[in-house]
Amino acid sequence: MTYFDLHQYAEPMARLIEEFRKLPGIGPKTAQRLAFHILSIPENKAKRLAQAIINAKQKIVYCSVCGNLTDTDPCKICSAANRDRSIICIVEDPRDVFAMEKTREYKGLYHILHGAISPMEGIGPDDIRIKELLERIRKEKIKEIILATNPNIEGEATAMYIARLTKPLGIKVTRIAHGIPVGGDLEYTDEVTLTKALEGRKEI
Amino acid sequence: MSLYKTEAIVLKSNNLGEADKIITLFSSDRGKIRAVARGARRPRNRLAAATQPFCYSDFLIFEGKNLDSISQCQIKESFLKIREDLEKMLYSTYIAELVNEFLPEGEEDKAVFSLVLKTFYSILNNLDIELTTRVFELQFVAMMGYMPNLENCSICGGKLTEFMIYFSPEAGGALCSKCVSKIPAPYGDVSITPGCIKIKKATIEVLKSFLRISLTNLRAIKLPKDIKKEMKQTLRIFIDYHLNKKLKSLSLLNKITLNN
Repeated sequence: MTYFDLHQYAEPMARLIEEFRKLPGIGPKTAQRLAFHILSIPENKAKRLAQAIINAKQKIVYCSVCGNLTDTDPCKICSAANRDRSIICIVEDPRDVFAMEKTREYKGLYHILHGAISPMEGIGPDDIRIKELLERIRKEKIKEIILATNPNIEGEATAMYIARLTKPLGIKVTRIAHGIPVGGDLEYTDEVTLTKALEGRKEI
Repeated sequence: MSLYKTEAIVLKSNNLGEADKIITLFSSDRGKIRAVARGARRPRNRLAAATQPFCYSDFLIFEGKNLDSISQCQIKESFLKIREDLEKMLYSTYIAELVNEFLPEGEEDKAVFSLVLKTFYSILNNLDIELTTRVFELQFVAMMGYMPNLENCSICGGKLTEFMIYFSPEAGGALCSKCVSKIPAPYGDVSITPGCIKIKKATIEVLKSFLRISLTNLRAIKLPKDIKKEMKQTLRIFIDYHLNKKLKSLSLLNKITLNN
């Protein structure tokens, strides 16, 4: 540490600051502020925080069906009675499930890959949950899969690879559209997005 | 600290923090540059599209103390169709990785820049992607200073007259059957010599012509399968020998191309 000499703090305090610093997006100054805040709050509140961390860490597991984070296995979405079980939406990350769920439009199931194929980084199809997906398609009656990986090179590679594997199985394979953001301005849209938006235009 | 303008191809893009990217650019007048594209992972960001791999754009870059950062960019060719085809994308990724591994940072090389650009255009325009890659590999390593000897035997200097000859990156190129035994034991035994392969003389002849061929003339060329295979192997061991590192993009490329 260059700016903050940890030796000037009492040992437990220094340890707390060190732990905070390991969190994403937290620098030395924020870590120090958080640590001082923890010390200023009543003991029961601090205990609640600690307990919440331990609780989440112990109870949250990956759903054995879709791979989402859950406290019940299979997860709420996989075991819901009112969802369309013939459609699977494939996403890279559990966070993408929350994003999709916010739409309240989609009523099918999910499959979380936990990553994307990255030829540049040497991450291949065996490093993400593609095998589990194929297994699911074989076991369950799936009519359609929606490829909702990110619209970047890794996401495209992943989508194209999965499409190649699943199309011969006679399933409808779709890719989410790319286009101009709602409320956006055509003038400021880059040409690549605009090209994709033109390709994916539909009759009204 | 100042702004500079340059035209460049994106070779690689890595995530940085929550919403930023570090991109590796190959610029026509400044060579390889690494720069931060702030916010490039947010939707609606104006840098997002131009910082995708293979994209060819005019960049306005702010020179920073440690890393440069992208200020503005104007796409010249997005190579979108390369990214929408698995084979094209994997071959291009391999080419970009090769350039990234061989080139040192900040060294201008107009000839290599033009070759990379032409190669991407050839892939985009549906030229034989495999042969395009072979031409690129050969011409690129030659430009980088690793020219394989294809004219005569690399040890005795004699003419290559036999139907089957040898190729050893260690010896620097082609070998006649007499000299292959001169490589000191245990390398004398061809079957166990790592990186020494037996190939047809015709393969060497094709490679020789590929050194000077223009990519646009590739359309007229048809080659038998075995020659293609030997060229692939020859260039592979030659590049691997000089790079001394395993390229990450190869495993997936081999996997996909083997299935077809």
